[in-house]
Amino acid sequence: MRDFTFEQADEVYKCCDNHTVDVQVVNNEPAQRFALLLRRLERELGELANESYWVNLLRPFRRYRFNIAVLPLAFNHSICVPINLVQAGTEGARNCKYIYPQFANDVAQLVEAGLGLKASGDAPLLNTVRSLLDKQRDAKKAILLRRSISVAVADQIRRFIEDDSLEFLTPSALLSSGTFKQIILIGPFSWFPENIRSAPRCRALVSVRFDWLADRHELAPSFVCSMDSRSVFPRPKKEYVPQPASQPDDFLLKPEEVAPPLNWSEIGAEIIRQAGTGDYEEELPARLSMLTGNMALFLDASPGATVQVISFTGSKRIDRIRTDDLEPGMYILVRTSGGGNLVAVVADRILKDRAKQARELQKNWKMALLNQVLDKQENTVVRDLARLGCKRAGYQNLRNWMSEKSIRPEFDEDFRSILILCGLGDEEKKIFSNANLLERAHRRAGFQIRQMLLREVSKADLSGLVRDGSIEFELLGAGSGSFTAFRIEDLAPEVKNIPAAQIGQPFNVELFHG
Amino acid sequence: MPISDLYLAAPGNHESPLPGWALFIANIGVQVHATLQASRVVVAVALPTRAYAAALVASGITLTKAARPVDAANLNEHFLRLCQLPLGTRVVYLDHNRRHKGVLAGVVNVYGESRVRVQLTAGDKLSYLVSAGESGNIELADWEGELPHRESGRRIARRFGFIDAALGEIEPREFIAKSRLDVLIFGKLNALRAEILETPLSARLPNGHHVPGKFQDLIRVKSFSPTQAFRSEVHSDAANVLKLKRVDSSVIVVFDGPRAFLRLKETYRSNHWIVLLDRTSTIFQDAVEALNQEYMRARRADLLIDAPAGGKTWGVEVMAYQEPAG
Repeated sequence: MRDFTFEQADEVYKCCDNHTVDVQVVNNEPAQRFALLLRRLERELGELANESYWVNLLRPFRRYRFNIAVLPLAFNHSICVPINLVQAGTEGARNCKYIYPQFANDVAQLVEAGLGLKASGDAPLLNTVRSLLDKQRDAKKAILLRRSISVAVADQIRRFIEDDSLEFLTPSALLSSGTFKQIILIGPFSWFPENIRSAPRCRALVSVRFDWLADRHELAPSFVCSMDSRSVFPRPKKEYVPQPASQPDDFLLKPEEVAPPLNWSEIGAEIIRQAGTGDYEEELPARLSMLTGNMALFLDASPGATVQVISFTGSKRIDRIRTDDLEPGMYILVRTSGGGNLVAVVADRILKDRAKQARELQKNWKMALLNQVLDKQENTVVRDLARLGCKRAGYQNLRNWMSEKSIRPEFDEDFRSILILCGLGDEEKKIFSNANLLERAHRRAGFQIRQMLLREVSKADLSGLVRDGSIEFELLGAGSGSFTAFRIEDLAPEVKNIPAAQIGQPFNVELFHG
Repeated sequence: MPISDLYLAAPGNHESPLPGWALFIANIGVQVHATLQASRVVVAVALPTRAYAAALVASGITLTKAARPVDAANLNEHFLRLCQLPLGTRVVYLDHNRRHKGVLAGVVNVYGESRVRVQLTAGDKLSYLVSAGESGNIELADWEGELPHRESGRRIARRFGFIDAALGEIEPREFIAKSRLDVLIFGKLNALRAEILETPLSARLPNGHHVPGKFQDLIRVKSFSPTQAFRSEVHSDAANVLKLKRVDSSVIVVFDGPRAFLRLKETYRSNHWIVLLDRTSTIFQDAVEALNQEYMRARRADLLIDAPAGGKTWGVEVMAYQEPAG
């Protein structure tokens, strides 16, 4: 999707040569007072802010400050206002008098300012956007947001601005959206990747932000010794609006104070904690990815692991690429409904009447192996298996063999050792042939699913995918099984081991974001 | 030929000159080749998009290197390839300024030296036993139709084509017929294949007419046209490092993207590098830091890459230096 025709590439270079950068600073007294009161309380609390009382009180207020700064919406818009803002505020103010009386006044002021703002229908960012937007109807324009918004909210904004063609993008979506005449980004440049400025995709780039938010200054050359580095940067043709000179330096909030960078470790740990894990569950290396619509997903990052992506170029609509090659802006296909393993569901349909019996027989030896582990501990079972001739007895393999995802060990001698250990040696022939039957059915099921998916994807209007960031493909009728193509917004820099069951399962990360 | 004589062929037979940024990037290839001496050359380029940069830079290199004759070592590879082709493979044999249609008729040993037998298909149907050193006279050809009878070799009166026009003063025969690896590109195969094989270009003939062509005609990627003589090769940036072959240190390695550079720089440390970095890549900064460290560790002298008029694009940043050969 990020591939360009020569003409599109030429347009990118023309944008570089001809673009202007402008900053519009928005003043709104109530929002400024709220943001600064919150910052003052945070600073006064210092380390104390990490205590659960303060975390619970401050989180909705921080979230509200984040929302009003990143979304061009009215202060009382339901998307902006966290559900628990009022409750946390009123309870927090009431209890603070008894728990932390020294901060009671600050909390009362903050709550009053926050709840006052929540009652206001003002939308200063939106008004500014409307006044700045290029009036030419056929000009390609977009609003660039730090977080994605729903189609309904985007439509609301379009109606208010009276411009149906306005697009709403996140930085990753911008990479696959061509070039624009004008892009208005909401918030300081610091909230966006540097390439928004260093590789602009528009002729006019405007940042709209509140006056209580600071921003970084000029771009710097990348290389230590660039040819003519002084002429490389900076650009802006229009001057920045100067910060009010009368304000003290610490008047401005740092961008990362309002919208902290994603804490990948925290998000990953929280997802794992919420899902819960068994004692002997297989672990695999995984990379966390943020998807459009505040979803997150652990991707299998084992060597050679691959994922399915929607391809907009080339002959193949669905492509399989290595997890290592994924980049923000690509569209990944994820199983999103139907429960369990779709391959197993389709395989059971292929097996018809034989399915139930085959699954039960399969479950028997897996349960027997699990019981061995529960009785004797893993290390004893691994040792016993090795003694019985299992050449690949190891902790990881053992967990893999116990898991539902694996049908049988790859080598007969390993499988035989397991059955002997579990006291099922007499049934070897029957269990072997059953496992082979399941394997064949799973292979056919995988092929059928791919065909179904290809049919659905080729029928779908993929412009909706680019516009909305995700699209669902129903495969087996309502609720039976579906895939969703999500746009990847960001990828964690590191790989970590997580329970295999968590891989490929999308999670909502609204609670932990920002 | 100056690369500026290449055109972009838009639909409807409308030709437009290559834009300034494209000439600038192609010119990097031209200038790197011109600079090559005993020392290694490293050129790093930060770009707003990676699109077409590798094809352009490689075109600059192959066109500039086209004037240099292919040496015996490169002919050996061409010869070995001919030896492995099936009997009956259609070829054109060049003999004293005449082109003869023929087929490959096996490999024979003459006084301890292997020779390829070329059986002409016309005239007296002579057989030629061609040594490795002369194998540049055998072109693999896709000529159509029945094997002709009673027809002697045709005097070479080539219809001017894209390559002739693109090479200008340089005799195109060797460029078309003889293989030599000038450029090795690492990047995303699908994107590179589409850019190199599908982008419609044209070159202007002396009479002002345009003849169509593709980047592939200039870069001559081995794996994209296995039966033609090659000048470059493209590999995936995900290629298994252990399976990659080392290449002669004169080959210029083009890393198309930060991932290609970060994964494969150690494998090609003795080659000249052109590193094309897309600013929108998530690992752009990682590659920049690696390059900056390379520069501080090994730089001997900075190089200046001239920009053709109008070619300097804002946001395109170049770091070029020489270091002692590894």
